[in-house]
Amino acid sequence: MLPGIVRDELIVVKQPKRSPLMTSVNAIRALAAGITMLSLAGMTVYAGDHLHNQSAPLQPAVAGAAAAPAKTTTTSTTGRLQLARGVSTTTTRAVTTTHHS
Amino acid sequence: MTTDQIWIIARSSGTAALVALVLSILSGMALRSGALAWLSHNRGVRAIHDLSSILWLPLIVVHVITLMLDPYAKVGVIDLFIPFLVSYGSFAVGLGTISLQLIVIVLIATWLRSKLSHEGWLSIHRLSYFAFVGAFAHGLLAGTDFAQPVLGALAWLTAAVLLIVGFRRLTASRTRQSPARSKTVAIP
Repeated sequence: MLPGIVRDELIVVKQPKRSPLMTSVNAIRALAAGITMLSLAGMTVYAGDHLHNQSAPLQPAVAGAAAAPAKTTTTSTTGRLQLARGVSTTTTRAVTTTHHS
Repeated sequence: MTTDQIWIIARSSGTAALVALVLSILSGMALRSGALAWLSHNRGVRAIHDLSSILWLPLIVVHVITLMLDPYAKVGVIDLFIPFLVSYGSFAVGLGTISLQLIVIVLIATWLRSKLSHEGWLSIHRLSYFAFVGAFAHGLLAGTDFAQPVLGALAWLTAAVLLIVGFRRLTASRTRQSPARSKTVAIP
């Protein structure tokens, strides 16, 4: 016979139920809303400080093109000038304007 | 509103919508499994489930509208209805579209719950699991911020917690469905 168990009788000892951390429904609602709003505010601040992420899976093509200007001319080892298609971008300010008639 | 501001709001609302979805899924699974019994009683967990679904809706509306305004994302109205059409990151954005559509179906079914049979409502409600997987994959493949190590680690940790709670929920419902399997051992 196992120790602590009376023959032909099973004694069930109920463990005292632990009370949950939050019993108020409104408090738990506030917690859920708080977590969501905190993530919204936190991400707004973070995204504001880190507008561009170089390791992001999607990179817009326009931004990539602006970062790496296209090569238009290359010189081979033979000294001959080779031309390639492409338009190089500039960061300098425009000095002329287009006239609209 | 500048392009940068639109971009910031699109990112933050998308992440916050995913957080609200996590809370909704977690609390929904915890209702059966008792995984959040340490935090609150079932009424409290039910309150989280109901509120997070309400919180999710405006966040995802803001996320979608800002992405439609974003000149780089180029998301159009048609992309809300037909996934994988968008030219930029079509697969990643398409997953988000499918996820959005599934959750909208789940929400409509919830509002029409009284007119549906319990089994019918439950089978539609379970689509939210697929919606979460789609939304999570959308965040990983299209999200700018999940590539950041700390935020990425947090996202994977959350997914792991959901997986564990989901497993507990599955085992809890199986135990409840087959009470005949429990053995009665006679004490000599």
